[in-house]
Amino acid sequence: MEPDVEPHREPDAQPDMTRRGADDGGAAGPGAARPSGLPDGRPALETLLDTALRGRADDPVARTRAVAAFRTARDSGAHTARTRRRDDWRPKDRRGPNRSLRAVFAVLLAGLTLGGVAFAAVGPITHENAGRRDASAAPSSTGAPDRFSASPPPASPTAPGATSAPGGPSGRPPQANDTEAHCRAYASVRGRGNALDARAWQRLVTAAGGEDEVEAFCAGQLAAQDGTKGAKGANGAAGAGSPGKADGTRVPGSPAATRPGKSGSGR
Amino acid sequence: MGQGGEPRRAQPHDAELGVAVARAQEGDEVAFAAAYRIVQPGLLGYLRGIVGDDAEDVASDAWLEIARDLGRFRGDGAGFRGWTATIARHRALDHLRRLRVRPRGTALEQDALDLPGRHSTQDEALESLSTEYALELVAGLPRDQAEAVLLRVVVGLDGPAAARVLGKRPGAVRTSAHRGLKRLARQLGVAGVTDEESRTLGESG
Repeated sequence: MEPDVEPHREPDAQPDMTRRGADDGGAAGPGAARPSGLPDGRPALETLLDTALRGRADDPVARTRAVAAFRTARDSGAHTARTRRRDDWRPKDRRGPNRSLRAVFAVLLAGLTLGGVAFAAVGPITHENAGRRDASAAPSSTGAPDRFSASPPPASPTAPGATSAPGGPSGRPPQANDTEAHCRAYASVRGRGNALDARAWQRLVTAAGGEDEVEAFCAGQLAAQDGTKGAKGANGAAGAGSPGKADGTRVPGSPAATRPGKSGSGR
Repeated sequence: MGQGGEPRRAQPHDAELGVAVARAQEGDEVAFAAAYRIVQPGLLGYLRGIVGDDAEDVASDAWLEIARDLGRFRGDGAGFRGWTATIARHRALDHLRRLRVRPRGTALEQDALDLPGRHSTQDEALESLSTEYALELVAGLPRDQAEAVLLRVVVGLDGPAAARVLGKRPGAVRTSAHRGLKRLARQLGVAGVTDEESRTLGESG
Protein backbone atom coordinates (compact mmCIF):
# COMPACT_ATOMS: atom_id res chain seq x y z
CA MET A 1 0.00 0.00 0.00
CA GLU A 2 2.79 2.30 0.77
CA PRO A 3 5.90 0.91 -0.78
CA ASP A 4 8.08 3.95 -0.57
CA VAL A 5 7.42 4.78 2.99
CA GLU A 6 7.55 1.27 4.27
CA PRO A 7 11.31 0.82 4.59
CA HIS A 8 11.48 3.42 7.26
CA ARG A 9 9.55 1.51 9.80
CA GLU A 10 10.49 -2.05 9.04
CA PRO A 11 13.91 -2.08 10.73
CA ASP A 12 12.13 -1.45 13.99
CA ALA A 13 12.83 2.23 14.22
CA GLN A 14 16.50 1.67 13.98
CA PRO A 15 17.14 4.55 11.59
CA ASP A 16 15.22 6.79 13.88
CA MET A 17 17.37 5.84 16.80
CA THR A 18 20.48 6.77 14.93
CA ARG A 19 18.86 9.96 13.87
CA ARG A 20 18.02 10.85 17.38
CA GLY A 21 21.46 9.95 18.50
CA ALA A 22 22.93 12.35 16.08
CA ASP A 23 20.42 15.13 16.14
CA ASP A 24 17.95 14.94 18.95
CA GLY A 25 20.40 14.09 21.61
CA GLY A 26 18.98 16.42 24.17
CA ALA A 27 15.69 14.63 24.10
CA ALA A 28 17.18 11.18 23.93
CA GLY A 29 19.21 11.56 27.08
CA PRO A 30 22.27 13.10 28.60
CA GLY A 31 24.58 10.59 27.04
CA ALA A 32 23.69 11.62 23.54
CA ALA A 33 23.68 15.32 24.19
CA ARG A 34 25.23 17.62 21.70
CA PRO A 35 28.32 19.37 22.74
CA SER A 36 27.87 23.03 23.44
CA GLY A 37 29.88 23.97 20.42
CA LEU A 38 26.75 25.03 18.54
CA PRO A 39 28.05 24.46 15.07
CA ASP A 40 25.03 26.06 13.49
CA GLY A 41 25.84 29.36 15.10
CA ARG A 42 22.61 29.70 16.99
CA PRO A 43 22.46 30.86 20.53
CA ALA A 44 22.72 28.04 23.01
CA LEU A 45 19.22 28.51 24.27
CA GLU A 46 17.55 28.22 20.89
CA THR A 47 19.51 25.14 20.09
CA LEU A 48 18.54 23.64 23.39
CA LEU A 49 14.89 24.37 22.94
CA ASP A 50 14.81 23.16 19.40
CA THR A 51 16.57 19.99 20.35
CA ALA A 52 14.33 19.34 23.29
CA LEU A 53 11.00 20.30 21.80
CA ARG A 54 11.31 19.11 18.25
CA GLY A 55 9.06 16.16 17.75
CA ARG A 56 9.61 13.12 15.64
CA ALA A 57 8.10 12.13 12.36
CA ASP A 58 8.58 8.44 12.88
CA ASP A 59 5.10 7.40 13.88
CA PRO A 60 4.16 5.15 10.97
CA VAL A 61 0.46 5.24 11.74
CA ALA A 62 0.32 9.01 11.65
CA ARG A 63 2.36 9.17 8.49
CA THR A 64 0.32 6.52 6.76
CA ARG A 65 -2.82 8.37 7.67
CA ALA A 66 -1.49 11.60 6.25
CA VAL A 67 -0.37 9.98 3.01
CA ALA A 68 -3.69 8.17 2.68
CA ALA A 69 -5.50 11.48 3.08
CA PHE A 70 -3.24 12.95 0.44
CA ARG A 71 -4.06 10.13 -1.94
CA THR A 72 -7.78 10.47 -1.36
CA ALA A 73 -7.68 14.18 -1.95
CA ARG A 74 -5.58 13.80 -5.06
CA ASP A 75 -7.83 11.13 -6.54
CA SER A 76 -10.99 13.03 -5.77
CA GLY A 77 -9.69 16.11 -7.50
CA ALA A 78 -9.53 18.20 -4.36
CA HIS A 79 -6.08 19.39 -5.32
CA THR A 80 -7.44 21.50 -8.09
CA ALA A 81 -9.14 23.76 -5.58
CA ARG A 82 -8.63 27.45 -5.89
CA THR A 83 -5.90 29.19 -3.94
CA ARG A 84 -7.30 31.41 -1.24
CA ARG A 85 -5.51 34.40 0.12
CA ARG A 86 -4.38 32.49 3.18
CA ASP A 87 -2.87 29.79 0.99
CA ASP A 88 -0.56 32.17 -0.80
CA TRP A 89 2.76 32.11 1.01
CA ARG A 90 4.89 33.25 -1.86
CA PRO A 91 7.52 35.75 -0.81
CA LYS A 92 6.30 39.29 -0.61
CA ASP A 93 8.59 40.67 -3.27
CA ARG A 94 7.19 38.29 -5.83
CA ARG A 95 3.56 39.05 -5.30
CA GLY A 96 4.02 42.59 -4.00
CA PRO A 97 4.15 44.40 -7.34
CA ASN A 98 1.08 42.67 -8.59
CA ARG A 99 -0.88 43.58 -5.55
CA SER A 100 0.19 47.19 -5.48
CA LEU A 101 -0.48 47.45 -9.19
CA ARG A 102 -3.92 46.06 -8.65
CA ALA A 103 -4.47 48.53 -5.86
CA VAL A 104 -3.43 51.42 -8.08
CA PHE A 105 -5.82 50.33 -10.78
CA ALA A 106 -8.60 49.92 -8.31
CA VAL A 107 -8.07 53.43 -7.00
CA LEU A 108 -7.92 54.85 -10.50
CA LEU A 109 -11.08 53.06 -11.50
CA ALA A 110 -12.89 54.21 -8.41
CA GLY A 111 -11.78 57.77 -9.06
CA LEU A 112 -12.98 57.66 -12.61
CA THR A 113 -16.29 56.21 -11.60
CA LEU A 114 -16.90 58.76 -8.90
CA GLY A 115 -15.75 61.54 -11.16
CA GLY A 116 -18.10 60.36 -13.84
CA VAL A 117 -21.01 60.28 -11.48
CA ALA A 118 -20.17 63.71 -10.18
CA PHE A 119 -19.90 65.07 -13.70
CA ALA A 120 -23.11 63.46 -14.77
CA ALA A 121 -24.88 64.92 -11.78
CA VAL A 122 -23.42 68.42 -11.81
CA GLY A 123 -22.14 69.08 -15.30
CA PRO A 124 -25.30 69.45 -17.34
CA ILE A 125 -26.99 71.52 -14.68
CA THR A 126 -24.33 74.19 -14.37
CA HIS A 127 -24.30 74.22 -18.10
CA GLU A 128 -27.96 74.85 -18.27
CA ASN A 129 -27.76 77.51 -15.62
CA ALA A 130 -24.92 79.27 -17.33
CA GLY A 131 -26.85 79.37 -20.52
CA ARG A 132 -30.02 80.24 -18.81
CA ARG A 133 -28.80 83.31 -17.03
CA ASP A 134 -28.62 85.42 -20.12
CA ALA A 135 -31.37 83.63 -21.92
CA SER A 136 -33.87 84.26 -19.16
CA ALA A 137 -33.25 87.95 -19.24
CA ALA A 138 -35.36 88.32 -22.34
CA PRO A 139 -38.49 86.35 -21.58
CA SER A 140 -38.85 87.09 -17.91
CA SER A 141 -39.01 90.58 -16.55
CA THR A 142 -38.36 89.53 -12.99
CA GLY A 143 -34.73 88.67 -13.54
CA ALA A 144 -32.68 86.11 -11.75
CA PRO A 145 -35.03 85.23 -8.90
CA ASP A 146 -37.48 83.84 -11.35
CA ARG A 147 -35.52 80.69 -11.37
CA PHE A 148 -36.74 80.09 -7.90
CA SER A 149 -40.04 81.84 -7.97
CA ALA A 150 -41.15 80.82 -11.40
CA SER A 151 -44.39 78.98 -11.36
CA PRO A 152 -43.78 75.28 -11.42
CA PRO A 153 -44.77 73.47 -14.56
CA PRO A 154 -48.30 72.28 -14.62
CA ALA A 155 -49.05 69.40 -12.42
CA SER A 156 -50.40 67.44 -15.31
CA PRO A 157 -47.23 66.35 -17.00
CA THR A 158 -49.00 64.63 -19.80
CA ALA A 159 -49.97 67.85 -21.46
CA PRO A 160 -47.16 68.86 -23.75
CA GLY A 161 -48.85 72.00 -24.80
CA ALA A 162 -49.07 73.30 -21.30
CA THR A 163 -45.40 72.70 -20.71
CA SER A 164 -44.32 75.06 -23.36
CA ALA A 165 -47.04 77.56 -22.69
CA PRO A 166 -45.33 79.76 -20.08
CA GLY A 167 -42.44 80.55 -22.32
CA GLY A 168 -44.55 81.39 -25.20
CA PRO A 169 -43.38 81.30 -28.73
CA SER A 170 -40.60 83.79 -28.19
CA GLY A 171 -38.38 81.53 -26.16
CA ARG A 172 -38.04 78.23 -24.56
CA PRO A 173 -40.09 77.56 -21.47
CA PRO A 174 -38.35 79.11 -18.49
CA GLN A 175 -38.17 75.98 -16.51
CA ALA A 176 -38.96 73.15 -18.80
CA ASN A 177 -35.42 72.69 -20.02
CA ASP A 178 -33.91 72.81 -16.59
CA THR A 179 -36.49 70.42 -15.38
CA GLU A 180 -35.89 68.15 -18.27
CA ALA A 181 -32.15 68.15 -17.69
CA HIS A 182 -32.71 67.54 -14.02
CA CYS A 183 -34.99 64.70 -14.80
CA ARG A 184 -32.50 63.10 -17.13
CA ALA A 185 -29.72 63.46 -14.61
CA TYR A 186 -32.06 62.18 -11.96
CA ALA A 187 -32.70 59.11 -14.03
CA SER A 188 -28.98 58.54 -14.44
CA VAL A 189 -28.01 58.80 -10.78
CA ARG A 190 -31.16 57.44 -9.26
CA GLY A 191 -30.48 55.44 -6.14
CA ARG A 192 -26.82 56.35 -6.00
CA GLY A 193 -24.87 58.86 -4.00
CA ASN A 194 -25.99 62.11 -2.48
CA ALA A 195 -26.60 63.98 -5.65
CA LEU A 196 -30.22 64.45 -4.70
CA ASP A 197 -29.15 66.63 -1.81
CA ALA A 198 -27.88 69.28 -4.14
CA ARG A 199 -29.73 72.50 -4.53
CA ALA A 200 -30.68 71.71 -8.09
CA TRP A 201 -32.45 68.62 -6.91
CA GLN A 202 -34.23 70.53 -4.26
CA ARG A 203 -35.55 72.66 -7.01
CA LEU A 204 -36.58 69.64 -8.96
CA VAL A 205 -38.35 68.31 -5.92
CA THR A 206 -40.10 71.60 -5.44
CA ALA A 207 -41.13 71.64 -9.06
CA ALA A 208 -42.46 68.13 -8.82
CA GLY A 209 -44.32 68.93 -5.65
CA GLY A 210 -42.58 66.53 -3.34
CA GLU A 211 -39.83 64.01 -3.29
CA ASP A 212 -42.17 61.14 -3.91
CA GLU A 213 -43.58 62.82 -6.94
CA VAL A 214 -40.27 63.28 -8.71
CA GLU A 215 -40.31 60.03 -10.50
CA ALA A 216 -43.76 60.34 -11.92
CA PHE A 217 -43.17 63.98 -12.64
CA CYS A 218 -39.99 63.29 -14.52
CA ALA A 219 -41.49 60.46 -16.46
CA GLY A 220 -44.17 62.79 -17.68
CA GLN A 221 -41.71 65.58 -18.37
CA LEU A 222 -39.42 63.46 -20.43
CA ALA A 223 -42.23 61.92 -22.36
CA ALA A 224 -43.58 65.35 -23.07
CA GLN A 225 -40.23 66.70 -24.16
CA ASP A 226 -39.59 63.81 -26.42
CA GLY A 227 -42.99 64.34 -27.88
CA THR A 228 -42.48 68.00 -28.59
CA LYS A 229 -39.06 67.38 -29.97
CA GLY A 230 -40.46 64.88 -32.37
CA ALA A 231 -43.16 67.27 -33.32
CA LYS A 232 -40.76 70.11 -33.85
CA GLY A 233 -38.44 67.96 -35.81
CA ALA A 234 -41.33 67.10 -38.07
CA ASN A 235 -42.25 70.68 -38.87
CA GLY A 236 -38.93 72.16 -37.94
CA ALA A 237 -38.87 74.42 -40.96
CA ALA A 238 -41.37 76.71 -39.29
CA GLY A 239 -39.17 77.30 -36.30
CA ALA A 240 -35.48 77.66 -35.96
CA GLY A 241 -33.14 76.03 -38.36
CA SER A 242 -31.39 73.81 -35.92
CA PRO A 243 -33.28 70.64 -35.31
CA GLY A 244 -31.70 70.08 -31.93
CA LYS A 245 -28.92 68.18 -30.41
CA ALA A 246 -28.61 64.54 -30.80
CA ASP A 247 -28.60 63.79 -27.10
CA GLY A 248 -31.78 65.65 -26.63
CA THR A 249 -30.80 67.37 -23.42
CA ARG A 250 -31.88 70.65 -24.82
CA VAL A 251 -34.88 71.71 -26.72
CA PRO A 252 -34.10 72.92 -30.18
CA GLY A 253 -35.28 76.22 -31.30
CA SER A 254 -34.95 79.82 -30.43
CA PRO A 255 -33.10 79.53 -27.11
CA ALA A 256 -30.13 78.22 -29.00
CA ALA A 257 -30.35 81.18 -31.23
CA THR A 258 -30.41 83.66 -28.38
CA ARG A 259 -27.17 82.39 -26.88
CA PRO A 260 -25.06 80.98 -29.58
CA GLY A 261 -21.75 82.26 -28.23
CA LYS A 262 -22.40 81.39 -24.67
CA SER A 263 -23.33 77.82 -25.23
CA GLY A 264 -20.34 77.40 -27.45
CA SER A 265 -17.84 78.79 -24.99
CA GLY A 266 -19.41 77.15 -22.04
CA ARG A 267 -18.47 73.74 -23.15
CA MET B 1 14.25 9.23 2.13
CA GLY B 2 17.95 9.19 1.69
CA GLN B 3 18.68 11.97 4.08
CA GLY B 4 21.07 11.20 6.87
CA GLY B 5 19.09 12.68 9.67
CA GLU B 6 16.16 14.70 10.81
CA PRO B 7 16.45 18.33 9.90
CA ARG B 8 17.93 20.21 12.76
CA ARG B 9 17.45 23.62 11.42
CA ALA B 10 14.64 24.73 9.23
CA GLN B 11 16.45 26.70 6.59
CA PRO B 12 18.88 24.13 5.19
CA HIS B 13 15.99 21.87 4.23
CA ASP B 14 13.75 24.48 2.76
CA ALA B 15 14.96 23.94 -0.77
CA GLU B 16 14.41 20.22 -0.48
CA LEU B 17 11.05 20.84 1.11
CA GLY B 18 10.05 23.19 -1.66
CA VAL B 19 10.85 20.58 -4.28
CA ALA B 20 8.96 17.91 -2.37
CA VAL B 21 5.91 20.12 -2.04
CA ALA B 22 5.94 21.02 -5.69
CA ARG B 23 6.13 17.38 -6.67
CA ALA B 24 3.44 16.46 -4.20
CA GLN B 25 1.20 19.08 -5.74
CA GLU B 26 1.63 17.27 -9.00
CA GLY B 27 0.38 14.12 -7.34
CA ASP B 28 3.55 12.44 -6.10
CA GLU B 29 2.71 10.80 -2.81
CA VAL B 30 6.30 9.86 -2.07
CA ALA B 31 7.15 13.52 -2.24
CA PHE B 32 4.28 14.24 0.08
CA ALA B 33 5.66 11.74 2.58
CA ALA B 34 9.02 13.46 2.30
CA ALA B 35 7.48 16.83 3.01
CA TYR B 36 5.68 15.32 5.96
CA ARG B 37 8.92 14.01 7.35
CA ILE B 38 10.60 17.38 7.08
CA VAL B 39 7.78 19.42 8.52
CA GLN B 40 6.24 17.17 11.13
CA PRO B 41 8.95 17.43 13.86
CA GLY B 42 8.73 21.18 14.10
CA LEU B 43 4.96 21.09 13.90
CA LEU B 44 4.76 18.58 16.71
CA GLY B 45 7.07 20.65 18.88
CA TYR B 46 4.93 23.71 18.32
CA LEU B 47 1.71 21.84 19.01
CA ARG B 48 3.09 20.35 22.19
CA GLY B 49 3.61 23.85 23.44
CA ILE B 50 -0.05 24.66 22.84
CA VAL B 51 -1.98 21.47 23.52
CA GLY B 52 0.54 19.38 25.43
CA ASP B 53 -0.03 15.66 25.21
CA ASP B 54 -2.71 16.03 22.56
CA ALA B 55 -0.16 17.29 20.07
CA GLU B 56 -0.07 14.05 18.10
CA ASP B 57 -3.82 13.96 17.68
CA VAL B 58 -4.01 17.57 16.68
CA ALA B 59 -1.13 17.16 14.27
CA SER B 60 -2.91 14.23 12.72
CA ASP B 61 -6.00 16.35 12.17
CA ALA B 62 -3.87 19.12 10.77
CA TRP B 63 -2.26 16.77 8.30
CA LEU B 64 -5.63 15.64 7.03
CA GLU B 65 -6.39 19.22 6.20
CA ILE B 66 -2.93 19.82 4.77
CA ALA B 67 -3.29 16.78 2.55
CA ARG B 68 -6.71 17.90 1.41
CA ASP B 69 -5.79 21.51 0.69
CA LEU B 70 -2.34 20.95 -0.68
CA GLY B 71 -3.45 21.98 -4.13
CA ARG B 72 -4.37 25.41 -2.86
CA PHE B 73 -0.97 26.16 -1.43
CA ARG B 74 1.35 28.54 -3.25
CA GLY B 75 4.88 29.12 -2.11
CA ASP B 76 8.27 27.60 -1.42
CA GLY B 77 9.61 25.42 1.38
CA ALA B 78 9.69 28.19 3.95
CA GLY B 79 6.20 29.19 2.92
CA PHE B 80 5.01 25.63 3.37
CA ARG B 81 6.23 25.70 6.96
CA GLY B 82 4.22 28.80 7.59
CA TRP B 83 1.15 27.48 5.84
CA THR B 84 1.20 24.19 7.70
CA ALA B 85 1.85 25.94 11.01
CA THR B 86 -1.21 28.11 10.42
CA ILE B 87 -3.37 25.08 9.78
CA ALA B 88 -1.94 23.30 12.82
CA ARG B 89 -2.59 26.33 14.97
CA HIS B 90 -6.21 26.53 13.90
CA ARG B 91 -6.70 22.86 14.64
CA ALA B 92 -5.05 23.33 18.02
CA LEU B 93 -7.29 26.26 18.90
CA ASP B 94 -10.32 24.28 17.78
CA HIS B 95 -9.16 21.45 19.97
CA LEU B 96 -8.79 23.71 22.96
CA ARG B 97 -12.20 25.17 22.39
CA ARG B 98 -13.69 21.74 22.19
CA LEU B 99 -12.11 20.70 25.40
CA ARG B 100 -12.91 23.99 27.00
CA VAL B 101 -9.42 23.96 28.29
CA ARG B 102 -7.58 27.14 28.62
CA PRO B 103 -4.65 27.49 26.26
CA ARG B 104 -2.13 26.68 28.92
CA GLY B 105 -3.31 23.66 30.82
CA THR B 106 -3.40 23.97 34.54
CA ALA B 107 -1.28 20.90 34.99
CA LEU B 108 1.55 22.39 33.04
CA GLU B 109 1.12 25.65 34.80
CA GLN B 110 1.29 24.00 38.16
CA ASP B 111 4.39 22.11 37.21
CA ALA B 112 6.02 25.25 36.03
CA LEU B 113 5.48 26.79 39.41
CA ASP B 114 7.23 23.91 41.08
CA LEU B 115 10.28 24.15 38.93
CA PRO B 116 13.61 24.90 40.43
CA GLY B 117 14.73 28.35 39.60
CA ARG B 118 17.55 27.35 37.34
CA HIS B 119 19.93 24.65 36.60
CA SER B 120 23.07 24.65 38.64
CA THR B 121 25.45 25.16 35.81
CA GLN B 122 25.24 25.95 32.18
CA ASP B 123 26.83 22.68 31.25
CA GLU B 124 24.24 20.77 33.11
CA ALA B 125 21.52 22.73 31.41
CA LEU B 126 23.03 22.14 28.04
CA GLU B 127 23.33 18.47 28.58
CA SER B 128 20.15 17.62 30.31
CA LEU B 129 17.39 19.85 29.08
CA SER B 130 14.74 17.23 28.66
CA THR B 131 11.69 17.58 26.51
CA GLU B 132 9.49 17.61 29.57
CA TYR B 133 11.47 20.27 31.30
CA ALA B 134 11.67 22.41 28.20
CA LEU B 135 7.93 22.08 27.76
CA GLU B 136 7.35 23.08 31.32
CA LEU B 137 9.50 26.11 30.89
CA VAL B 138 7.73 27.13 27.71
CA ALA B 139 4.36 26.47 29.27
CA GLY B 140 5.32 28.85 32.03
CA LEU B 141 5.57 31.67 29.54
CA PRO B 142 2.68 33.89 28.63
CA ARG B 143 0.85 32.43 25.69
CA ASP B 144 2.00 34.92 23.10
CA GLN B 145 5.63 34.54 24.12
CA ALA B 146 5.43 30.76 24.11
CA GLU B 147 3.93 30.66 20.65
CA ALA B 148 6.37 33.18 19.26
CA VAL B 149 9.34 31.28 20.66
CA LEU B 150 8.08 27.96 19.36
CA LEU B 151 7.34 29.24 15.89
CA ARG B 152 10.69 30.93 15.60
CA VAL B 153 12.87 28.31 17.21
CA VAL B 154 11.18 24.98 16.67
CA VAL B 155 9.16 25.45 13.51
CA GLY B 156 11.93 27.60 12.09
CA LEU B 157 9.86 30.48 10.78
CA ASP B 158 11.28 33.92 10.23
CA GLY B 159 9.72 36.94 11.89
CA PRO B 160 7.20 37.92 9.23
CA ALA B 161 6.06 34.34 8.73
CA ALA B 162 5.60 33.79 12.45
CA ALA B 163 3.65 37.02 12.61
CA ARG B 164 1.39 35.88 9.80
CA VAL B 165 0.72 32.59 11.52
CA LEU B 166 -0.22 34.39 14.70
CA GLY B 167 -2.12 37.12 12.93
CA LYS B 168 -0.06 39.83 14.55
CA ARG B 169 2.36 42.51 13.51
CA PRO B 170 5.95 41.35 13.02
CA GLY B 171 7.20 43.82 15.57
CA ALA B 172 4.89 42.48 18.25
CA VAL B 173 5.92 38.92 17.54
CA ARG B 174 9.60 39.81 17.57
CA THR B 175 9.14 41.42 20.96
CA SER B 176 7.25 38.42 22.27
CA ALA B 177 9.90 35.98 21.08
CA HIS B 178 12.66 38.10 22.52
CA ARG B 179 11.02 38.39 25.91
CA GLY B 180 10.19 34.73 26.01
CA LEU B 181 13.69 33.66 25.16
CA LYS B 182 15.14 36.08 27.66
CA ARG B 183 12.97 34.69 30.37
CA LEU B 184 13.83 31.13 29.48
CA ALA B 185 17.50 31.99 29.42
CA ARG B 186 17.19 33.46 32.88
CA GLN B 187 15.46 30.38 34.18
CA LEU B 188 18.04 28.11 32.64
CA GLY B 189 21.02 30.21 33.45
CA VAL B 190 22.01 29.98 29.83
CA ALA B 191 23.77 32.87 28.24
CA GLY B 192 22.02 32.48 24.93
CA VAL B 193 19.70 35.28 24.08
CA THR B 194 18.49 36.43 20.76
CA ASP B 195 20.26 39.75 20.60
CA GLU B 196 22.33 40.01 17.52
CA GLU B 197 25.34 41.20 19.49
CA SER B 198 25.29 38.28 21.83
CA ARG B 199 24.86 35.92 18.94
CA THR B 200 28.03 37.18 17.35
CA LEU B 201 29.84 37.08 20.63
CA GLY B 202 28.73 33.56 21.34
CA GLU B 203 29.80 32.49 17.93
CA SER B 204 33.23 33.98 18.13
CA GLY B 205 33.85 32.51 21.58
